[in-house]
Amino acid sequence: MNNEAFDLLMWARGPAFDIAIIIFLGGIVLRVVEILVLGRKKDMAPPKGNPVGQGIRTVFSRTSPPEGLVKFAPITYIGGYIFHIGFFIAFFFFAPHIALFEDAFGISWPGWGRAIIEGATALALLALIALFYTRISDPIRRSLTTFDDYIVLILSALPLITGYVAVNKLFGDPTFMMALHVLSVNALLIAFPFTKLMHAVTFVMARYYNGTIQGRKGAES
Amino acid sequence: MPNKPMLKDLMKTHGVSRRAFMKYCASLASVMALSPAMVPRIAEALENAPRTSVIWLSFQECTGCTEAITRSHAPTIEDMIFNAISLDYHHTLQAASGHAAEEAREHAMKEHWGEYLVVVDGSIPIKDPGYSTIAGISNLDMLKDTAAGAAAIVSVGTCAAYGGVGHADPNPTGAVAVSEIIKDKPIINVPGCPPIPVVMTGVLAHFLSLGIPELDELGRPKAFFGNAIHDRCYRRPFYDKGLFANGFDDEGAKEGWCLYKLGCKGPTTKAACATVKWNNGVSFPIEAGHPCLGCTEPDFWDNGGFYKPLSVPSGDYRRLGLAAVAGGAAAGVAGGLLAKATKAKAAKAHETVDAHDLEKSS
Repeated sequence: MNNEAFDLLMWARGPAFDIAIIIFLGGIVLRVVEILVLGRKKDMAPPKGNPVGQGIRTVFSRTSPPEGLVKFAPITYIGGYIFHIGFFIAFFFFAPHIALFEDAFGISWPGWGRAIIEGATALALLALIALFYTRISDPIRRSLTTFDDYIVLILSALPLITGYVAVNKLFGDPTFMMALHVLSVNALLIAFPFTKLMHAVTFVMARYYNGTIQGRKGAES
Repeated sequence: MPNKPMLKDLMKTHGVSRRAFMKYCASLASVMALSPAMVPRIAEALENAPRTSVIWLSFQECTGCTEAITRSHAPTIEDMIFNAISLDYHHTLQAASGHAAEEAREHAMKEHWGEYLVVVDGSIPIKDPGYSTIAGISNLDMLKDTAAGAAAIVSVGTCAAYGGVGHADPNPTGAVAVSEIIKDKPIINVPGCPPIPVVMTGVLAHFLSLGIPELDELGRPKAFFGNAIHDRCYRRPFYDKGLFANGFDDEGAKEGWCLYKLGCKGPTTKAACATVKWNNGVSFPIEAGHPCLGCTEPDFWDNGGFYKPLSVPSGDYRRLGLAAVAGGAAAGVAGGLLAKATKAKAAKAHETVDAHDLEKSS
């Protein structure tokens, strides 16, 4: 007699996670290395400004929105911030997740209380719903939306939903929901290198590159 | 069975008062999550219950389950109930041995055919029946033979219920649970390594008074195995606050904080440990400072390590991750170089065209 829910959890945190982490790490490194190897044509002209300084500055400065754009697209910006911050809080400060980092890297930090974690999760989910709404309600955004965008939206929402349901035992067998939670994370890891989720790694390179172009021209980025 | 003493008479001879008996029935109803209205029914059923013949079969086991049940504190009513059954065969507890013991079993079977209760502890080896025999009879044969005339079977302990330690990887004896062999009899699983004594006696009392209790999908009585330990754990508030012990001797452990990060399986383990507790309600493993091993769940020996938190991957992901980084880097360099070569080839093959050429071709 087997507990099928626990067997699924064991598969999710065993072989399935192994496969997911291979694709996740291998895929990220492959794409980053490929970008670096391809490189850019050397600009022979002497720089007018400070490309490196502007590059580094841009990596951070583009975290805050350009002037006026929050008013122009409030849901995109505010929703985007809430989703990212909420996701990070739930991901990095829920103790069972910290246990994972401790096992992988040997480093640990104090976890936060359930009220904060669950509040952050709920806000992140609400933000995702708002972002989805703006995406489909605005005809221009809708026409710009690709299959990739919908998949990424769903894959980002699933770990939040399943984690919340598993911890609060809202419905379904909690062990089964925990298995679904790990499986949804595995799916996110697998999709990561091949979708726009890659921005979590490449944003640094892209911002630095844009900053250096401006710096080279003597402009402020 | 008019010549058999009824429980009512046994209680009288043991000096158990009516009040104590009714209190026991009420606590039984409470622990099994039954309506208080059921108390008189339980009392009546138990009072009029004849001594049911019980045949206790011990197969591939460590005797821990028997050790546990014999620690029900005499002269409690649980002990009384246990004494009130006629334990006709139990090769650890009975005085007889060898063929005399087997004769007792055969006699009990013949006399109570179709009515006796079989209690099994231990798994059954099916790879080679010779791995475990009693008086030259293989466990498999003895179980089949004895189960044939049973009213019901109670699989006591995780070995009998789900295969237990014998079934753990690589399972050298081909150990299986009772339910893998017996398909035509009602089976009540009372897993645990060992099960809580009051849960064992509670299940027996339920069987005597109200028949087979409501079971979950793993064959366990819902009354005792309905809730995850995590949901009834007195350390749960620390989990909710994010306060965890990181070692067995750190500040968190001394403060009595949640043991999740030390591998506690409370969130996925259904058992009554946190409510009924052990040794007459004194304590239970988590209260003693040790994470729950999940011993009431199938294959708990192989569920990713006792001291590994549930959220931590159970495979060799670190080594695989490093290999993936190396493989990814190599593939990235290869891909980049290939793209560069394609670009160079295209540049080399590129032919310049001017307006005259275009005019010529048109």
